[in-house]
Amino acid sequence: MRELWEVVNGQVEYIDDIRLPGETYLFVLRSPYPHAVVKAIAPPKRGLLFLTSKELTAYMPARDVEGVRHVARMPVLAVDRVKFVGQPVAAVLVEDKYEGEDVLDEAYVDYEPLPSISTIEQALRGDVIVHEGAPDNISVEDVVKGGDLDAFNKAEVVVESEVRQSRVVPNPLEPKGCVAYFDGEVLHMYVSTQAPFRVRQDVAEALGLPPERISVKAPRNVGGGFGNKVPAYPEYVIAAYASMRLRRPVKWIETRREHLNNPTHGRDLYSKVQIYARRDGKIIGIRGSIIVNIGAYNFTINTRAARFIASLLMAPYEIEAVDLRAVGVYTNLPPTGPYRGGGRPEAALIQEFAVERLAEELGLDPFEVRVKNAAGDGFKTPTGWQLGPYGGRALLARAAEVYRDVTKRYPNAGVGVAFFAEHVRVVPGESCRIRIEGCKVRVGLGGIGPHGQAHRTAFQVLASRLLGISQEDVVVELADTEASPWGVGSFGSRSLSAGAGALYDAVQKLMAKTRELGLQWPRDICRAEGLEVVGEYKGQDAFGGGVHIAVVELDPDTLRPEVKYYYAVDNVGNILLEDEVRAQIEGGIAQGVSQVFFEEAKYDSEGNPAFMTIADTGFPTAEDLRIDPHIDYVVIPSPNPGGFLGVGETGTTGGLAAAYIAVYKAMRKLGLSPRHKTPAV
Amino acid sequence: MEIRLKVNGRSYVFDVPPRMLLAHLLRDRLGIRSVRIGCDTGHCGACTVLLNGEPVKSCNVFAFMADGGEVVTLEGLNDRLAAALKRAFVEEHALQCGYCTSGMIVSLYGLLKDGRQTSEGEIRRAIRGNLCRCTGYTSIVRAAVRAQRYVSS
Repeated sequence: MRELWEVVNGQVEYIDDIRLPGETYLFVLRSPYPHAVVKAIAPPKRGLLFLTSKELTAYMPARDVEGVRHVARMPVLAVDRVKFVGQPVAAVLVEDKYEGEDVLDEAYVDYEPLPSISTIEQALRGDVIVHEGAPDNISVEDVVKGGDLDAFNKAEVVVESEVRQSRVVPNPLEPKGCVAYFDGEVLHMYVSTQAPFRVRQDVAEALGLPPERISVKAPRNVGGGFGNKVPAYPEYVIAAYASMRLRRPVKWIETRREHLNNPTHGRDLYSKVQIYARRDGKIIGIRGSIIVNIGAYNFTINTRAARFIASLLMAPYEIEAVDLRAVGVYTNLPPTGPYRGGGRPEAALIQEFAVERLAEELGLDPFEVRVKNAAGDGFKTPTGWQLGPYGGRALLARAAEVYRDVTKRYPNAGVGVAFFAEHVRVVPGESCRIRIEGCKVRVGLGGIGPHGQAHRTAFQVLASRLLGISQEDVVVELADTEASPWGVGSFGSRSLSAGAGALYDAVQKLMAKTRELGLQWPRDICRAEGLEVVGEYKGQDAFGGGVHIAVVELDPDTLRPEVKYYYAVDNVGNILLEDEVRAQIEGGIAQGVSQVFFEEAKYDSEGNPAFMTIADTGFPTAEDLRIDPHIDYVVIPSPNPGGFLGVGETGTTGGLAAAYIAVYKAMRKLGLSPRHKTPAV
Repeated sequence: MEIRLKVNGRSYVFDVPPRMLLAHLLRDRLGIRSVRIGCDTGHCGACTVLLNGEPVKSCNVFAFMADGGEVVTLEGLNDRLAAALKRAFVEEHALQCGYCTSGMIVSLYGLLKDGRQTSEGEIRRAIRGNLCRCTGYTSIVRAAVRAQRYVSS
């Protein structure tokens, strides 16, 4: 695959490789306190420009705020108060990047520290009020319910389970960054992003600019995202503003130290659910609460987290009722946001642990309980999701023998099963522009922002197939607001599903147009020079699914976990690049398992980070994380054009739940009390 | 201060501030893209280069400390072992976002350059200072094993 050869040969361009003549460098002064009044700020003696909220008063957009009880948007630069360690307070622009930190040291901020909190429990007790407008520290409180709520009365058994999912630093290997340059008319931005159109919209709203005057593109390579590189960040807004003020390019490259305490963190939630069932293991419904620690501000889509997780709970089970409280609370921590799987792994863990506990309570085989309750294709969940041909029963049938085999083969291990329906976010679609240039077809999918998924190759293969031309005659342009009229982004396992839909539409339009012009395709490709069409797709969300089986043994003395065996079978939809599908699932599993074994961004009760380095956050090395999963799949075409699904998150969805349950059961086998939290060991 | 350095076979004389890191010298003065900054604490290994034949994290070395030495980055690795590693990385799909890849290949080159057969444990040990978020490491270990096979056959 050419895309991979480019990387091993060093033919790459990440954000810090982009160098514009006359560029200046942005450095940000950050709060050392979790909560404080900013009494005074003294500027440094040097620097091209020094910014505080006195000059740049702007706020980051918060999405999905409809029906939200309280909305506190994050200021780009702190206004009067700081509410988490790491929050931007002031910014300095320098000529020489090696002087940036020295210049920052010359600035002085007078703070008056205030009491602060970091946990969900503290927030709900109201120990400290983070925002005056939300005296109970609750930003969002919603009831997610559906189905026949009377059905709960039919239950013969109610089993409760609780789980705490750790706050996790996303830690893509390449931290965030941007280069902004204003040419007098248009604000050009290179951003290490998964979603250029989203960054454009965010920057436009924060600065009050029309989006048409902003152009955002990702460099050819984005060094990982994991949900962290979807929205714009305060630093992008500052860089944009400063470039307009200075009329020079402004570059900001996040340091790892900054990344550790910058938005967005992932996960950080507490759930307590009651599963209602009959004694024979038939599940009736689920009740309970899901409470997400959204941190100090409403930022990106963190108001959606609890509601989305609640809506997905129990998706692959044919149950009658769902009644869940979905809450988001404020604390003095960095805002959370979607992290690989963005709600899917969280939901799968809560749901599968609940099912496991039910089986345990009833003395039933946990795999059989899943088989007994698995929803058939076409099931509509009580919360309204149409599962379509998600393949749940076929997946369980495929995994059954493996399950029987490993329970015999590893009598001392914990065997964790995760069964889930995997949501693929197609809505609200993507657009695609096709242009004939130099006898080649240029395919523009500006919303798709690849960050390690070989999307360039995937769309090249698909376009060449649809157009009946060689791959060499297709040039794919991604992650650029100029490449197609509109777009959404690469997250939620959506790139191929949504992108292919737009590509199919554009190809059809191209064919119609060439016929209209009396051209014979592809013979007359060179005569179609300059021809341009725009396609789009606004299809429906789709569901895949998976069954993951993790076999984990704990060393009885050290409790060091060891993955003895791991099996994953996922419905991956139609396959374009088989090696890439396997690689995505394998890496996704590792990321889920890693959270169970190692990862946590620990804070003290006042919101001071207890980690200084990437290693302190539990990021595993090759010696820590040893897992060689057996990857299996079934192919059930999705209803979207091409029949594709997405595989960026399914590994993590299965991995988090399967590994968690495996550790729980392994601890039980050793006679130990499980921790009911990640990391679980 | 003035230092002399051989980088990927070419000799240079640089005037560097005492606190300049080797990683910054390679990136900012020579435009070498395979040397990448992923952390500021020497943990991630994205900046790994060979200094006098041994893998080092170039962010943990001041430029002046390399005075008189020889640096080889991914761009300078062109022998049979390097070709085997690159091919194996592609075939085993041992990279996704690619940010850690050059550091990984340099570290593995340092491990395998003597031609000795190594175990999976040794491979994992050799790259424990190179962090990867995408792959879960297993495909990288497989690539190293495969590269050994290519070189020894």
